[in-house]
Amino acid sequence: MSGALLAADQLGRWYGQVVGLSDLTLSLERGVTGLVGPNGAGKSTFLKLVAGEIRPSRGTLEVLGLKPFANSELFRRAGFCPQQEALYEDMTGLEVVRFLMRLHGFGAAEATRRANEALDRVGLGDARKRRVGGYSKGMRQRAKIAQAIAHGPELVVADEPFNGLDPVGRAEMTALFAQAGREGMSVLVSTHVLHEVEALTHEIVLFHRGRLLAQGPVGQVRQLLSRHPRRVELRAREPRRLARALVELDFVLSVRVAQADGRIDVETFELERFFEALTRIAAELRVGVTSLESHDANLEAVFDYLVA
Amino acid sequence: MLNFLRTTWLLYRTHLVRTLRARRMWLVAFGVALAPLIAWIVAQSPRTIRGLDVLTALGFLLTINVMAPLASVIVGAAVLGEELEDRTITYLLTRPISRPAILVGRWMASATVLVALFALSAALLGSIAGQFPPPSDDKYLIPAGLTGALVGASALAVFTYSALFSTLGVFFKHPMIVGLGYAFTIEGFLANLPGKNQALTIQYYVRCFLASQHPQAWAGVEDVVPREPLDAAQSVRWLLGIALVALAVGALALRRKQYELTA
Repeated sequence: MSGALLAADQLGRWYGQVVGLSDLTLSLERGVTGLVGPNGAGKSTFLKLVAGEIRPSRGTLEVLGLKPFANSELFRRAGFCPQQEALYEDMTGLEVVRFLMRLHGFGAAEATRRANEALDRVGLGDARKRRVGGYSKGMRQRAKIAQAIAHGPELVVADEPFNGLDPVGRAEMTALFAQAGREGMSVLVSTHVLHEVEALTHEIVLFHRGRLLAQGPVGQVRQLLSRHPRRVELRAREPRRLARALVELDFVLSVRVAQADGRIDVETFELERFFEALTRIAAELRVGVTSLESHDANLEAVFDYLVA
Repeated sequence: MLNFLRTTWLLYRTHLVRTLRARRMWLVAFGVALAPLIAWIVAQSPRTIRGLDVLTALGFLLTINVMAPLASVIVGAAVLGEELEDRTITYLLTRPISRPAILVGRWMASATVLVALFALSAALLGSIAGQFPPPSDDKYLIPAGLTGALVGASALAVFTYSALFSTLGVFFKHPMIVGLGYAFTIEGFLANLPGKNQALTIQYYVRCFLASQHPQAWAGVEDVVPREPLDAAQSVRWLLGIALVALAVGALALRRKQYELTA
């Protein structure tokens, strides 16, 4: 199996005034890919678009060469494990998966066979005849994964599938997705914990505030972020004197002073060292720093948060 | 078309079982049982009360006028509302199925239970009313076929109301509130105003169905008999037509509808 799994071009999605995803241009190959980003980064919105649950507000998206929204052809070839815990509470695990398999067009016997097989695969074999209402959070996750893989899809889209699982459960589900990947299934998994994905794949897509931040192998993304200069915006009573001192620092890439309002724009590779040096310089020279803002500092914070 | 029929049948079967288990249906069953229950309590009274009056008053004022729209709102609003509130609709909307079947299949299951409950309640009411002591004047005897007409009217009323309220669930986030508003302002108000505006309500056609068959029997209950009632067949056609149009509109809208569910 080769070829593009999905292609997004200037994809955007708004919820009223709230931006869920903005201007995303991205292409993914078949295989296992992890979507990483903090809560609210736009991962779920992206996966809902990929799964065909919602429509884009702008731009285009193709998954397996198809426009996803309400596309039965795609639904036959893909399985979706949504983030919400919801399942049919009054039905047993077996009834839920069997019912959904029947909706896929399988006959009663085949649907039962597939449901049993999928439930065994996710480790819910013993609980298949228990009502979902009595399932723990981890068991619900397993049941949700079972319904997403039972029909043998080419692509599985799983939104935060490790939530609520204990460490053993996480390891088991990671192994399951990895195995599915080896069997030729493409897997798109989202998480806000990077090491969960690292155990599964090295191909990641990093989201932040509804935008694509980086894409590629984990190590490359890490390097990319560390090579990316951070911008710091400063205001001081004596901007030129401060700028002269800052430009001497070897980890400062550039210093610009705006003629109009004296704002200083600094670019640095090492934000932490820069802040330490700035504190020292401000104290020594008494240049009266009045404001300090770093728009890019959050990139570091995002990644630190993810790898923590 | 085959996909639509197959999915409708699957959803009907599955949802029928789930509907019978649902707590809201037990609440509805209690409400529907009120008419025969009250008739039975009245039957225990030592006062001489005519069975015809009990049957027509409870059958119209409680069952047709109040319980039919109320029960239909409760059950109809849940047809899609339950999937949305429980956030399970994702599992249906990401399957290779005909989307209109979600509405139609689930509505059919709800309507089956509602029609059965109301028909049973009306039949029971007729049976209890028939046990009252015979009136001195023959004109107050319960005419043959009156209970059957009440059974039919109740069934038609909930069939049509539930279709309408199920469709509201496609368009509104809170169909129960919209449905209650409609039931008690449009149906409750307009149907009781004199004039041709009555024809804009479902109640009008249900009343026509009742009154066209036994007008004298209903004369004792205020507002039942419209001035120029349609005949029974016309009323049935109108009621089925309203139900089908409502479902068709909902089904068409559902084909391209997207629901934004939060985790």
